[in-house]
Amino acid sequence: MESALEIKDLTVSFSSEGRKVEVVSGLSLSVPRGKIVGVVGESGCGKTVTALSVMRLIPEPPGRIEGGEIIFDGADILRSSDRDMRALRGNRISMIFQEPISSLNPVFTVGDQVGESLRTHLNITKKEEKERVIALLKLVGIPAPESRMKNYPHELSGGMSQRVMIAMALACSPEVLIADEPTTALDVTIQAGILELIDDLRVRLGMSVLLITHDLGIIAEVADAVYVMYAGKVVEHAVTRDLFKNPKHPYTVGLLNSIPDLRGLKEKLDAIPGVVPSPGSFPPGCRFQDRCPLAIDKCRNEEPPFSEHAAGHYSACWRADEVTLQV
Amino acid sequence: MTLKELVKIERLKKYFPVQSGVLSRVTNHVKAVDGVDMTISEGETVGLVGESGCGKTTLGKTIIKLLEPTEGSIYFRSDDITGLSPSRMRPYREKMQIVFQDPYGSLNPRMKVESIVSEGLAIHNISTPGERKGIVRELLRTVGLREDALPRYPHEFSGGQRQRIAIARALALNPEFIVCDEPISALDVSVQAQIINLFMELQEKFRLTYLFISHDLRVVRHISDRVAVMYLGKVVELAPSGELYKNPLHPYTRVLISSVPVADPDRQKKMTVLKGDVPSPIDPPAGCSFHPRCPIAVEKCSSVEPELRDAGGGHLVSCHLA
Repeated sequence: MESALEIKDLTVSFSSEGRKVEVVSGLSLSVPRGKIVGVVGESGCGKTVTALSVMRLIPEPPGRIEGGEIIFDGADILRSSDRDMRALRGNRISMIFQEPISSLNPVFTVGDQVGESLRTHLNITKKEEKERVIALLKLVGIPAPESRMKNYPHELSGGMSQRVMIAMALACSPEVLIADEPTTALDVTIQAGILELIDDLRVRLGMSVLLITHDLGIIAEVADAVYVMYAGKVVEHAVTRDLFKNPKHPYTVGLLNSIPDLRGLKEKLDAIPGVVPSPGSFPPGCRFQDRCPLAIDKCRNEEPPFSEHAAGHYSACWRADEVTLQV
Repeated sequence: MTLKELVKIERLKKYFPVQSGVLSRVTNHVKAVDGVDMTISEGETVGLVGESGCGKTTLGKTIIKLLEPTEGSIYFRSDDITGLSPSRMRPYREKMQIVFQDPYGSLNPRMKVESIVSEGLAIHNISTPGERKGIVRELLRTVGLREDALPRYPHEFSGGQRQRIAIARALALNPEFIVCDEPISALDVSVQAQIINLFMELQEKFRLTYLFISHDLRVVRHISDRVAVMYLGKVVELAPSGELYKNPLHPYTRVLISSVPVADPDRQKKMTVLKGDVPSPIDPPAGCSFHPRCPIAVEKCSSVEPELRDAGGGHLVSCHLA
C-alpha cells in the first residue's frame, strides 16, 4: 500500500553532561495513506521523540538526528531546508500535543491561535480567516464557536482545550496528522469523543494518522496497524488484530496481561517485573532481557533481529515462535 | 467477609467558598461533595469513580478529615469523629492513612527514605528511635524495596518505587483504613499492575480496608468489592462491582462503562459519546444534575432530584427511570 509517511532507520540521540545517549535506535515505520497507525510504548521508549523528529522539532542541541530518512511526498524531510519545513509544518503535516493546557498560549484567544496557521500558510483575508476558524471549531464539536473563539485558554475545560488543539492541527487540512497521546489528559467520556472525531476526520478528509499512546485499549479501538516500542526500538509490528490475537514479543504479551479486564475475568494481574529502563542504561543484547520471562543466554549477549515471523507480522525476539498469550 | 462497619458517612458535604470583588466577599460555593452517604465494611475495598472535577478526591480527603466537612457526619468504628479537635483526632489518624496520586509531589525531596517512612512513628511516639530502623526495614521489605533504599532520597527512585515508599509510609502506623487517591495513574502501564497486585496482597496480609479512587474503570473493577460512581458531588450509583459492570442502572454509569476502550479488536465498536462537559459544581443543574447530558431524560428529571434508593440486592441508584 502507498505510504503517506515513511520513517527509515531513524536514530536520534541526546547529550547531557557530555554524555551522548541514543533515545531512538534504527526505527522504521510506515503510515499507509488514509490509515491510522498506532505506536504503543511506555515513558522513555522514544515515541514522542519519533513524533518530534517527523515535525523536525527536536531541539538541536542537545538533541541530534544521527541518521535515517523520513520520506514524505517523495522527499526526505530531514534534508529539506528550514524554509521548506516551515511550509510543511502545520500545513501538510501537523501534530496534536499531549498536554492541551500547556500547549496553548495563555495570552492569545482561541480564535487567534486556531487562525495562526491559516494566516501563515494561506493567503486569506481577515474575514475568511474568521469564517474558517468558526467552521473548524464547529467541526471539532465546540458549541457556540462564535463566542468561544474570543475565549482565552484558561476559560476552557481540558476536553475543550484538546478540541482547540485538534482544530489548530486540522486548520490547513493536513495529509498527515501526528497525535501524541491526544487523550491521556482527558476523562474517558471525552476521550471517546476525541477518538471518534479523529477517525471521522480521517474518513472525511482522507488523512493518515500516526497515533501515539500507552493504552492498548485505544489501539484496539481505532488503529489499523500497530508498532510496539520498547527502549528506543520497535520490537513488534503487525496489523492490529494479529498483534492482539497472536502477539510475537514477550513485551507485548506482558502489556496485554497487565491490563485489568472490565469483565472481571482476571484474578491477579501478570505484572512485568522491574522498571522501564531509562535511555543510556539499556541492557546489552535484547533490551527487554532483564524483564523477560523467556530470556535465555543468547538474549543477554546478542541483539535479536527484527524479522518477519508470519505474513506481515514482525518481531525482534529470539524466541518469537514460542511466544503465546499465556507466557 | 464480615460486614462489620468500619467507616460510615452520612449526608457528608464539603463546600469551598468562592470569593469575588474588592472586599473578597464570599459570593458562592463550589459544592465539591454534596450530600454523600456511604458505609465501608471492614476488609472491603470500595472503588470510587467519576470524571475529573466530580469530587472524588475531596470526598476521600474529607472522610479522613484532611478537610473539615461543611455538613454531615463521619463515623469510624461507630465513633463520631466529625467535630473532633486535632488533638482528639490524633488516635484516629493512626488508623486512617492516604496514598496520593503523584509520587513525585507527595514525598519530601529533602528527606531520606528512612525519615519519610518513620516520620509518622516519631510523631505518634511509637517505638524508640533505635527500634524504628528495624521497623522501616521491615516495611520496605513488605512493599518490595531493598534495604539499601534507607539512606537514599526520593529522586533516586522511579515512579513505581516512589509509590512503594508512599505505601510503606502509609503502612507504618498499622492503619485499618487507607484512602488510595489515584495511586497508579502516574505510573507506566507495566508498573501499574505491580502496584495493583501489591495493594491486594497488603490487604490480605493486614486486613486493610480501602477507599480506592480512580478514573480508570478497569482498575477499579479489578480491585474493588463494591463501586461507587460519583457525578457532580453526589454518588449516583453504588453496587457490588460485578453487578455494576454487568447491570449498570444509571445512564451515566452506562456511558462511563461504554467509553472505556477495550483491548480486543474483535469487540463491536460501541463507544458511546456523551454530549457536553461536566457542569459547574458552583451552580449544578436543578433536579437530577445529570439531566442536561442524559440521553433518556424526561421532564421530571429537570425538576425533581432523584433519591439514592435500593434497586434490590444492595444495588443503589439515583435515577427516576432506573
